[in-house]
Amino acid sequence: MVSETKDCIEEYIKKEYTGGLIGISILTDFCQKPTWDIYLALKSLESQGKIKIIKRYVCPEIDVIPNDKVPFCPRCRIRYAMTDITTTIYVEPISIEKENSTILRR
Amino acid sequence: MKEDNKKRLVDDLKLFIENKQYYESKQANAVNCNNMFDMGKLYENESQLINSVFSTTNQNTTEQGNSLENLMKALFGRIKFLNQVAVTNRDTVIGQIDLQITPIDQTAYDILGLIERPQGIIGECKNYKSNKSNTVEKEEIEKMCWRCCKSGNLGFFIGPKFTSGALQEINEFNLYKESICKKHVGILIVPLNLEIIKFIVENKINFCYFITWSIFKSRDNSITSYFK
Repeated sequence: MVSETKDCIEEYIKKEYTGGLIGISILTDFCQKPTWDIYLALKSLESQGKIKIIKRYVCPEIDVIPNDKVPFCPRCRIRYAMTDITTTIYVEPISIEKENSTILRR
Repeated sequence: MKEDNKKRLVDDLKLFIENKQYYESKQANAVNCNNMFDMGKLYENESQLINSVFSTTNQNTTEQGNSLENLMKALFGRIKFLNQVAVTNRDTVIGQIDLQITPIDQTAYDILGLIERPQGIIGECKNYKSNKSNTVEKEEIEKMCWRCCKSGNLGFFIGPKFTSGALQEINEFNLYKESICKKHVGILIVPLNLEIIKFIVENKINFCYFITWSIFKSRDNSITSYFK
């Protein structure tokens, strides 16, 4: 299952990726797999050095909180309960070869 | 558990879940209890296991204990950011552990609302019916406190009822753990009551959100007020 999902993610990067970070929801839609399958596959791809998982924390006012400040939101100037913070996942391709010979490297 | 406390718990839990889902719905790329929880054939297996847990006939003490451990394994097993949920029943340096729960990575602690990360998660299941009062006593909680202290783990304590002494012990541990334990970061005792777990299963409430709420309420030391 993980292998199939990894293939799908690699296919997305090779064929559809145009730059920037990829939100995990793009991959769940593209691969038609549950979020947990995608996340597991991403972890495996990350361990192979093919992608990097980027985690971002968002406060209830939809401000992105710097990772080292969580759960304090500098913009709101509020220290939230951790249960109020939403964790979001993005992907940065590192070394998956894009079709037409473009190689993505950090 | 008094009816008004049960009603208060259900109302608070529902509000908590509604709030969480409202904020999470604003973030397409969120990982949360909604999309990391397996809703397939929701609680079909667990409903049967609940019946077994509450059965008063044809069970020896081992079967009674096993039925609760299997129920908890099935419930935690639906939470997909927990990599493995094993019923161990094995003796370790911190005594016999019923449930060993392994998070997939640090993101699991984020979703559970744990900014301070414990070194792991363990669970203790008590389903004794031979005990006259059918309750978890203070001494059982003291053992769990010691285990959590020594291992640095967050501990769920699942039991039918808790004596007032047991509840007080949980409160004191959660409040003063920093002065009691060397490995205190992220550790907590989180009591779970069988009556509520039955309610969660019967009403098909997302168990992941329930666990997150229970941890939150244990941290602010208010969870035991529902169990009186």
